[in-house]
Amino acid sequence: MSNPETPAVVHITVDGVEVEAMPGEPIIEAAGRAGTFIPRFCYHPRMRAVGMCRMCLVEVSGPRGFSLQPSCYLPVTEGMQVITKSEKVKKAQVGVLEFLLVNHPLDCPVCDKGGECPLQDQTLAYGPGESRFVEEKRHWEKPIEISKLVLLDRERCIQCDRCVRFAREVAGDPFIDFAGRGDNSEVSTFPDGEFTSYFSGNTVQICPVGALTARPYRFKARPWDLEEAESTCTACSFGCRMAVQFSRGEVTRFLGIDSDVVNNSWLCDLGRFAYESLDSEKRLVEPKVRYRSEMAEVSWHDAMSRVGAHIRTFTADHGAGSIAFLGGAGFTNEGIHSFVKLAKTTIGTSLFDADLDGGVPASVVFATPRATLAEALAAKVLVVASADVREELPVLFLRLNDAVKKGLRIVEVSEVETSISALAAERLPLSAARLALALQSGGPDAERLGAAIAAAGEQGDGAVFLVGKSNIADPADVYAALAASASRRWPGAKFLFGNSRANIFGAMDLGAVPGWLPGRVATAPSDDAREIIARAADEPMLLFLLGADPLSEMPDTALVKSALENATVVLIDSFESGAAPYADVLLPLAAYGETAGTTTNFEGRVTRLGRAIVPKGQSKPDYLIAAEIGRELGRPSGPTAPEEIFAEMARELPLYRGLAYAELASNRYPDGLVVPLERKAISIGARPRRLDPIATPGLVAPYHQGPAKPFATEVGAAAAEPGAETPASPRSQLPEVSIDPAAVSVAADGRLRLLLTRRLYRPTAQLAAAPILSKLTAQAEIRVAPATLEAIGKSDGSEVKLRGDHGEEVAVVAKSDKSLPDGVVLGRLGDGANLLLLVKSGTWATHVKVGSN
Amino acid sequence: MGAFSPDMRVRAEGLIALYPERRSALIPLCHLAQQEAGYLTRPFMEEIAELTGTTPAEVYGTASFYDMLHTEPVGKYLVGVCTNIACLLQGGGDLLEHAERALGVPAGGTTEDDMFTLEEVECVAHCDKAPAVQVNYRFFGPLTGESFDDLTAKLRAGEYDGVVPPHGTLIRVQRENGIEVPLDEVLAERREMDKAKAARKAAADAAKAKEGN
Ligand code: SF4
Ligand code: SF4
Ligand code: FES
Ligand code: FES
Repeated sequence: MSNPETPAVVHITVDGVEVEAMPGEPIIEAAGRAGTFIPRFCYHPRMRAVGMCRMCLVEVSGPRGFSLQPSCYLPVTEGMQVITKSEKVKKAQVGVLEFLLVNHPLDCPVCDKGGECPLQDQTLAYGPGESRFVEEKRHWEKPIEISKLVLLDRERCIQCDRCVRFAREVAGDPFIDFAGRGDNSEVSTFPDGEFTSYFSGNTVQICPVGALTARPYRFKARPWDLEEAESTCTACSFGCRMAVQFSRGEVTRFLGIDSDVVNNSWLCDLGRFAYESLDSEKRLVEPKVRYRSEMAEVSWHDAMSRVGAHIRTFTADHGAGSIAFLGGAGFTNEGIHSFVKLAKTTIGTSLFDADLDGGVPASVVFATPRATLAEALAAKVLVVASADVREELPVLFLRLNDAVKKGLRIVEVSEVETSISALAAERLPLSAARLALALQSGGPDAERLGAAIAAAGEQGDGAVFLVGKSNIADPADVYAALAASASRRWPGAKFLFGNSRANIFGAMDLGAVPGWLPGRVATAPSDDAREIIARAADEPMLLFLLGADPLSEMPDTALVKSALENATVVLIDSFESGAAPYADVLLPLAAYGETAGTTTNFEGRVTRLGRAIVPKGQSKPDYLIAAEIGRELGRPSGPTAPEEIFAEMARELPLYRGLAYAELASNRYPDGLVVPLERKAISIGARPRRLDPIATPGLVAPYHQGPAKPFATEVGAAAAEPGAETPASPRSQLPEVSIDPAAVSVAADGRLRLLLTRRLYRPTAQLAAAPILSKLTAQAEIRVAPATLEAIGKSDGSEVKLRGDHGEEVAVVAKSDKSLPDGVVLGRLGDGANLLLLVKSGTWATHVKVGSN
Repeated sequence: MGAFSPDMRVRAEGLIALYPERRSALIPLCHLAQQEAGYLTRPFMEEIAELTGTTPAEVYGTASFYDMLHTEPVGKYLVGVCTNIACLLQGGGDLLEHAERALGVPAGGTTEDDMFTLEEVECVAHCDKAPAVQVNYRFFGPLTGESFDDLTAKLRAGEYDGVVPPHGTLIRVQRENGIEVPLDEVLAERREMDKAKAARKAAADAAKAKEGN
């Protein structure tokens, strides 16, 4: 896209000082980078400028002398002169503010925004000081609920269009708009409609006044009382950077941090409001052990003796191979490292699987070149063959939506329409299994994909694949084969994997998956989660469930149930999940915000987690629980603080070489680093970090408000020691995975193939513990082609019966969906019906019969 | 299932086909809907959203901006009394007051029998007959209190049926056949114009460059 005509930089003067600016950027940005703040309300650097509020007027030189121009809207040109401080500018600012305050209620003392409000601050700094307005202000009914999470006070709205633009442009959910005209303008949903967006909370963060407030935070705190810790969201593996704000030992809200490389300041509502569950009554806060049929609260000491006794008994009676660890993908890297050591060294079992429902396995993840998010967004073509991105990695959807507008070409491979379909230049309606088979054996489907990504050339250079489990009913092998054969076919292509479990990539890196030791070191293969569960149903086993609930996360419910009933279960969790009734020991785990450490996102980016408050009740951080179990088993005690554990990891694992705990949250690497460190410079964006471009200074840790970096700063290289070995992951290690043709077989006698997907608000113990967010819990449903419903005489939205091949039956609401192909049932997991029941472990494809009763 | 009758649906699709972007047909479709239902009911707004590839919130947002589009029920006749300068000087203010009394509703209100919705309007370009009144966008004037009462009585009695259509009927969208837009020709013409412009600019630039030397 480099046009030889476009100069690399243009020169302007701001208040007499010469400033270098990027061609095409608005004056307000160039001036800001040079240290001159121009007041603004409607301007937001992550959205299109609209010039709505006129707060940013400055004098700009033109052919007829200087005139007032909106600096957020006017791009810089060579030789432009800008005056930001003059009588004329001052008069304009005073006028704009006096007008804005004509109808703005002065209820700052009870307004959530009071104290961090750009309208307050800019009125103080640039305002008239008094008003000539004596008439009655306009009145509206207030507040009105525009969604379950967001409330609107129209009297406070200054019509800046940020929320409406966000909904339309960024989220692609234009369910709010301006209604009326002139002084009757109001932000409005469709009458009686709702602002149903997974991203609605962002509008609250960017509203420059207190017009939009979030139900969970409303009236909970005054901004000046809040302390904050920088952290990373762990509700999915996208790893949005966020600020955890807290006051008097309570987490009060999360705010998105304007990280160039990850989330661009956005969060999804699931991540943003996850803190709601932290203080819940439903938290597990005391260790409990089973005495006969009852769970009794005990001390940690007693609980540990019980755990120790179980481990010793099982080792003595059945060997260490009867002890297995499932889960841990929600743990910190330090916790995972500690548990892997405990399992694989102290106890001596190789049974550890953090990936309960088997996405693309570590063997493929490590053997394919991984893309960073930035590379994926700048790819020549991005092939998305994954579950619905908006449901699994929500903010990735926002980044893709933005990238497509800037020219990214997406080719989607999916049997059903997803949120990506609207962004994609092309959709190949293939199941993952069909594509995988086609790539292995050639044929028209493989050629179609080849043609679709022709821009990336024969070797696939510049192409990025996002591969993830698009059908929960499929075995992991399908996705392993898909990614492996794509990598063989296009050796130049890079990969990202759409596994949304928070720290699953950290767990892989640290050996919490079968066949791998810490640091991406291969070892003998061993049983995965499905095989462990199958074994536990038959033989005596001791199962450690690390923040995992096999019942809601794994298919084949009947098998999982009998495994849990049969096995001795130690559950380590912050909430009493569905597996809790089967536990013999319950150990309370410190929740998000209560523990420090690091986490790894889907790019392999290691970032710091912030510890804001102390763990609730008796709960303890993951690494301490591992240490205590180790001590109980007589192991000499090792490091017990996250920074010490991290130092040990950096020392022992080549993968982590060059990383330092303190560096990860430093000004140099505020968004962490992708492991293994490359010895190549990476460039980051132009903007200084901030929560919000007009947030009150002081809200963000001081170094984030510091002087802006020049654009295209080179960072990232220095941390790697020269000559440091990074573990090689040659393509030759790509496993050969074969797929049974049964995976693509067409079922006879009216049976339909079942495709199972998850939604963002999937029922979990944590969601159930969130008072407001839990109202959004997804309900289970199936979708079928209209003809399927007609054939059984059922109408859209009525209940039908699904019958599996092994006699299982599930009653569930059925919706008719024109976009679906015949022969497929799209099941969406949720409350109200358990569709996982229908999937049998070890089958290549799951078929069901849809009946009226 | 849709709110539009089959006939109107055809017409709606014809309108959409006129524009390069579906959403450009949003306002014409609102008029069509008003012709059918008198005002924009929610099912209509929802169907318009579906037809134009927008959301109901956007249709509502757009429709609520314009005075001629109604998102709440209106009477069979929308009576607009002009109180802009020419009419005001000729007694438009008094006429409005009279109308409010006579119909028993304030400006913006609808009579109990759903016959009339009274509105105060800005200049409707009927100044030569000030004070002017428009009824479903058909003009009357100059009116006095008396002739206003007479007009409403006649409207009630159906004497104007055929002259004043029920609310929502506009001539502009009443096209039986879509207009043929010779898009190719238009584009060719534009290209010609652009070329000519570029040539003129090049000539001017060359002249300037010469001067400079
Ligand atoms: S509600 Fe807030 S963000 Fe939306 S237009 Fe009003 S002031 Fe702007
Ligand atoms: S997209 Fe993922 S990481 Fe980001 S806020 Fe949502 S759940 Fe958290
Ligand atoms: S007009 Fe420039 S910030 Fe609003
Ligand atoms: S002023 Fe009333 S019609 Fe023009």
